Amino acid sequence: MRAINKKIKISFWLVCFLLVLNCCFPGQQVQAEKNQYRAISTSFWIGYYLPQDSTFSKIYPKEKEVCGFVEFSKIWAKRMEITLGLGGSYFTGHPLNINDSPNIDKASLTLAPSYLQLSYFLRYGQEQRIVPYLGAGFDAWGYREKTETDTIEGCKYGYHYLAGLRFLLDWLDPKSAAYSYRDFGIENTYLVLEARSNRIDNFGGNKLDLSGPIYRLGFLMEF
Amino acid sequence: MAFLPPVKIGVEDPNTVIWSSVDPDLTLGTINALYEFNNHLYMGVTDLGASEGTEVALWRSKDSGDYQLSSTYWKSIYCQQLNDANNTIISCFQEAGNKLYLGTENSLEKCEVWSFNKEAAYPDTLIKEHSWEIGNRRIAAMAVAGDVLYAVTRNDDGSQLWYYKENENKFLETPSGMWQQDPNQTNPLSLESLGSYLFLGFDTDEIHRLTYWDPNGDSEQINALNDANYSLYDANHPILADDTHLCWIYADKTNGYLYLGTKRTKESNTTNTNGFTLWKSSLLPIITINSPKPPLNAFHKGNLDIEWETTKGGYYQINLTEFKDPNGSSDPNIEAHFPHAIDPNRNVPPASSLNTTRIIGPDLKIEGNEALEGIYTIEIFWDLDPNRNPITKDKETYPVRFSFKYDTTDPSIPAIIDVSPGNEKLRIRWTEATDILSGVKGYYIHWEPLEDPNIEAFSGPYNPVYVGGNNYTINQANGQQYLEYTISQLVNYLNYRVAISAIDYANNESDKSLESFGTPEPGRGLMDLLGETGGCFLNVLHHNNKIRLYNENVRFSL
Repeated sequence: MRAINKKIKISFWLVCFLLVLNCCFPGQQVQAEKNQYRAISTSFWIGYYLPQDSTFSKIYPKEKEVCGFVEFSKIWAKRMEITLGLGGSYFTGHPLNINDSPNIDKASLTLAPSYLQLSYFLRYGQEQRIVPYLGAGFDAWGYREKTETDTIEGCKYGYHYLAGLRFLLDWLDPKSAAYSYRDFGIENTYLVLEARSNRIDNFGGNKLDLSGPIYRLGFLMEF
Repeated sequence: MAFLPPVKIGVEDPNTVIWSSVDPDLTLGTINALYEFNNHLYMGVTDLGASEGTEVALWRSKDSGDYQLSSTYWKSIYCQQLNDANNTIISCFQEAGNKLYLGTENSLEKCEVWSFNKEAAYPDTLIKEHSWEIGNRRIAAMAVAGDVLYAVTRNDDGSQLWYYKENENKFLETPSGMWQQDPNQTNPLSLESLGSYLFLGFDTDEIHRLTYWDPNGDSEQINALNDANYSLYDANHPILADDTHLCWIYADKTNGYLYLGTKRTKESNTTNTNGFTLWKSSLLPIITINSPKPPLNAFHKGNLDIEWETTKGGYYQINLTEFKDPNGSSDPNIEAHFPHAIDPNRNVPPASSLNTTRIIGPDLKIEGNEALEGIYTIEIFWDLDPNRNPITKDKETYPVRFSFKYDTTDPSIPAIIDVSPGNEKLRIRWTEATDILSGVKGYYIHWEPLEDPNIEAFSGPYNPVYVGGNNYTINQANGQQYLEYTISQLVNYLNYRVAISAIDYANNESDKSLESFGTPEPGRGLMDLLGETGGCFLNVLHHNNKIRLYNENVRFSL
């Protein structure tokens, strides 16, 4: 009985592996018009930022806040990409009294992250449907906090590393993909899922620490 | 009918010399309605030659009660909202409370009522109060009687009377039913009020006199609404020839006269053809209640003092028609609660002897210890013949009925839930108070700095803040409803003492709540808490660059 179960398990994982293999390396699709290597790409992102500083959550008690990004990337080598990213996020809350109880005044914090990032793509074919990637980069995050009595603004530096998956969308509707290429020069469109860990504390400084993960979903167009 | 015999006072034709027209430079289209409101005269105008088809326009005179017949004296008000809603005609105006209501006709074969507030400096924002179903073609007229706004609509198959339900912000049907359209295409033209009567005039010979109806009252009063139907051909009151149609009804409420405008439609041997005639009624006994006045409409502890006035001398009766205890139960033993109600001989001297048109009626005072707490409904009416025994009301007595509450119980004491600090302010949250009879009108927030704890609480020069109406917020947290108000312009880091009391519509004030304390202070943000002072590498670069350029500027005069 145990042997049968083992066989079933092995068969299941074999099927899964073949399915993934099929997704990653589809049959030959001849798109003669498309270039072998994409030159540049633009992507738009939306995600959740989860700051980890405990003081942060006392004033801005929402557990997570929506953030948005726009990125511009350039192929550097066959599997490398260099990316410039800009984003923004907005928090509202209440400042604290001397005894740490919430004050009735309002406080707002605007974050404007920018970063330069290098990514390595596990890309083995031209029309690979799922492209995993890893990356890391340097960050400069602008911040502006406004309370009733004060406005403090500045910038914090740090780094991040990430892992993600790009899902090719063109094969879902090849006709539209062909039109996008003909009319707008869009070679490929991807849906992208990404998890990144940020360490934004002036490389180990104290005071304000904006470190925390970001989980985000993006739409990417390669030209 | 009491306004007979009429006196013919007016013109036969609007083209005769006693009328002057406004400056012809003022090109208006068709004027459908005219009304004085808040020291301005308003005109509802339909512009048939507008670029986008028929458009409605609202014109307003300048700030003066002395109206000028000059084009520079009038200004068109942009009322895009009305045109966007496909209104083509402002058919009537009516003031009620502190609003001016506009009745309209719509190109979609329905009508609407819009309004704007007296406090609005310029009526550039109109509020749609109600929109009728298709088939209710036009708001023919509106009037206020007994503090209720009424509107009569001209419908596809007749006409109908509606009333405005204040707390629901919409018009509802009155129990008058539908006046069916007759073969002669009878249309409602005018609606006017005198005392508690409504006069509804049609474009034929009909005037309906409708008696007092309390929309919030008992259902048995409803049937009394459609009280009398008068024909202008009444044999006993031959006011008009049978070729005459009614054009307008106007009530002079200050002096107590009713005016009719009529038009002849056929050639007559005795009168001019196609002429207009203005008729004036005999003096009518129009009663005004000065106390209690709505919306307060409630007496607090002490004597009940009912003050009223009238336009005509004579004999008046004051009756208590209904008494309800604070729980709303009617008591049939009315007289026991209102010992001075029946007085058949309240003689009021004629106005002419007092050289005035308004006569103050004898006050009706009842000692506080004689009256019971509850809801009173009282009726005052003029009696034609004081020698009749017993005195009965008839159609010509012009009764005025009004209700008030005699409330001697204080509201419940509110409780402070929380006093929270802010920068130079304190936010106070408290539980809602209750008052069975007249209801809670608002709250007093008593506050003072706690400089000297030996001074008796709230005996200093700090006036309590009254919060009522819309100047506090009602919130809900953890299943509990609470009210909230923030006192501002306080001194940071100074301790304050706070208490709340409730006040009802009869001005009874509850005891103060238990005291609470709070100290205003500015909150500390994230940067402040972490000791972050701002600035960054780029900022420093930016500043240095500025300094360098400045120095270069000096050196090279760039």
